[in-house]
Amino acid sequence: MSKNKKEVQDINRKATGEKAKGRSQGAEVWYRMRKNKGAMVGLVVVVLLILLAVFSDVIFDYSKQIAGINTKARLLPPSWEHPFGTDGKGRDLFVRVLYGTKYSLTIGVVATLISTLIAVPIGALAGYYGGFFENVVMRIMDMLSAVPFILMGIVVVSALGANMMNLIIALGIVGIPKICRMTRAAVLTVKNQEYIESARIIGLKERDIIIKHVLPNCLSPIIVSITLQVATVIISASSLSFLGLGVPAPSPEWGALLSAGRDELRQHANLTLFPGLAIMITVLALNLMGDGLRDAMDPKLRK
Amino acid sequence: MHKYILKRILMLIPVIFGVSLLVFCIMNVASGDVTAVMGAEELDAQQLYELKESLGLNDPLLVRYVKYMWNLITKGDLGTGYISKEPVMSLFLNRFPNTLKLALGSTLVCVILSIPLGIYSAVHHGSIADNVAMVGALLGLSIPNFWLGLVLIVIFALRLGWLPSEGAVGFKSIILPAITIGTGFMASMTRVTRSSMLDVIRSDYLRTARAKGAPERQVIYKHALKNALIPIITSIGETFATALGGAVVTEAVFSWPGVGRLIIDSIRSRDTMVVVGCIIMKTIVISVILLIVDILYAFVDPRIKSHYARARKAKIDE
Repeated sequence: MSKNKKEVQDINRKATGEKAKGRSQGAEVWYRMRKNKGAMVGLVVVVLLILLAVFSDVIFDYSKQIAGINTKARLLPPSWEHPFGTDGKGRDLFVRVLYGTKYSLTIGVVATLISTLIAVPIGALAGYYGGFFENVVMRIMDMLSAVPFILMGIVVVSALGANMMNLIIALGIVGIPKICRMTRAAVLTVKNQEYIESARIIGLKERDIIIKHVLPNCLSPIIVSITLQVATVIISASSLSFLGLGVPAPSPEWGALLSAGRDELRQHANLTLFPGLAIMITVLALNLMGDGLRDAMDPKLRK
Repeated sequence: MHKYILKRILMLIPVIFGVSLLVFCIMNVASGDVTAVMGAEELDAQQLYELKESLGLNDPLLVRYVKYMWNLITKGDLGTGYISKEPVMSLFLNRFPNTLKLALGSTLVCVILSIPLGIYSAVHHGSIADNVAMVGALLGLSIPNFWLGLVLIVIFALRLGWLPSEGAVGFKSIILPAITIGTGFMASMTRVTRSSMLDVIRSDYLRTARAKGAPERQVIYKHALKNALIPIITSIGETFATALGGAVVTEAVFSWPGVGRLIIDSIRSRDTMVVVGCIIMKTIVISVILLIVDILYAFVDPRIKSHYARARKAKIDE
């Protein structure tokens, strides 16, 4: 069958005089993404941040530069030596902010991964089988999302105890409803397509149909919502850390840095300004990338 | 139509019970022995038992939950705070007007800023101004709320001294927190306004309006905006509901005496009952507002109305 298809394509090409050219779906998305300046800027920034996060322990000496106390250099204003100034314990804020990338990105990515691993299978099954199961799942999701995201995070973190692991678990749980709904909606649009029916007619197992035929065709909305979810999680995580319900004090997580800088707000606003900028740049990059992906993957926008 | 409303109200009930069960169980199991924070170490076993009995802590969790909900439904009673020793309902009602004020203020800020921006973007679709507005909206989405709050405090309260940095006394004190929350919602409302205006702008009846010689201003504000209004109104309702629920961090930044700060303070002092009660009440308020928005939507949108009207007619025909 595939041979036939290829022959037909070849004939078509000969007929139109077109050179043999075909992009895979991934290449097509990449091609369209490259044309979107905002998305590319976002992508570059995200890649740089990931590199920074992965190699932060190689670049910086944790005990000396991140946690070490230097009483002689307390609360210095920004200068060439210390671009963001130093904090109340004489630590260079620039280095600490860069090191903080590790925390925010880890929390964002791992928490989103947890939500995805739970939400996508549940959402897919709910959408595919429908009926009573779907109803139960969707009511549970209604329940989980009836409490505002940040409040639910506060409840779970205060229940488990404030540390990074629990923060990740909390935000992972809280993120489930959004991705679950998205997956279900995507599956609903796909499951009545003819190719799914064909797969059923030739006798494929339900499991194989869902994994090999339904989910791959739902991938683009899921990927987009995952990207945007990482951004949401990073903001929420830093909010919770700011409230003292996240990564505890000595670690330079951005929310924790902001919270520490708040005490010096009057005299040393730089301590608050820069960690916030770091959050903003990261989240903006992720949002730009997510929007770009959405446009690149949307078949309606193909020209 | 009544059937639709009834269905939506009935769907709300399991959600509220589920949420309250979830929050009640998590908070009560996790906070461990409440008597420990009440200074009960010095009590002997008999006194401890009596203290627990007076708080109703000797019953199994589910029995306590059922009693709790029964009291809430029949008497509007949310129990008494372990630490604050005050009825949770009156604590909540004391703080709620402040949260409501702030939510109204921030929704207003958001509407004033984002609807004109969205309309301008749609009318000048594809122009530089449109692109700038869209990147700006994305920026609004990416700025952490509490950080924006702190920056505003530095500029307007500490440096310029125009506005107070905390508290809720007088009109001036609401300005900074309302801007902080309102700009956070700008991104989505601007986008909704823009995209629903864009949908309408390409329609035939606008071409007709222009063809008959209506002035451009009238075309945009009378013909286009009116037809684009439904998603915008929904967005306003959702913004308001979210502002009621999500203002926790901003309330903490500005020391705004609202429900959010009550929750944070109570978590710090481990006053479990206050946390549970406030979260349940907040959830109920938000769900009801979203329900009202949905019902209004159904009233305004002829498609949903006709769906039910058709269903009824089909039944009569049978």
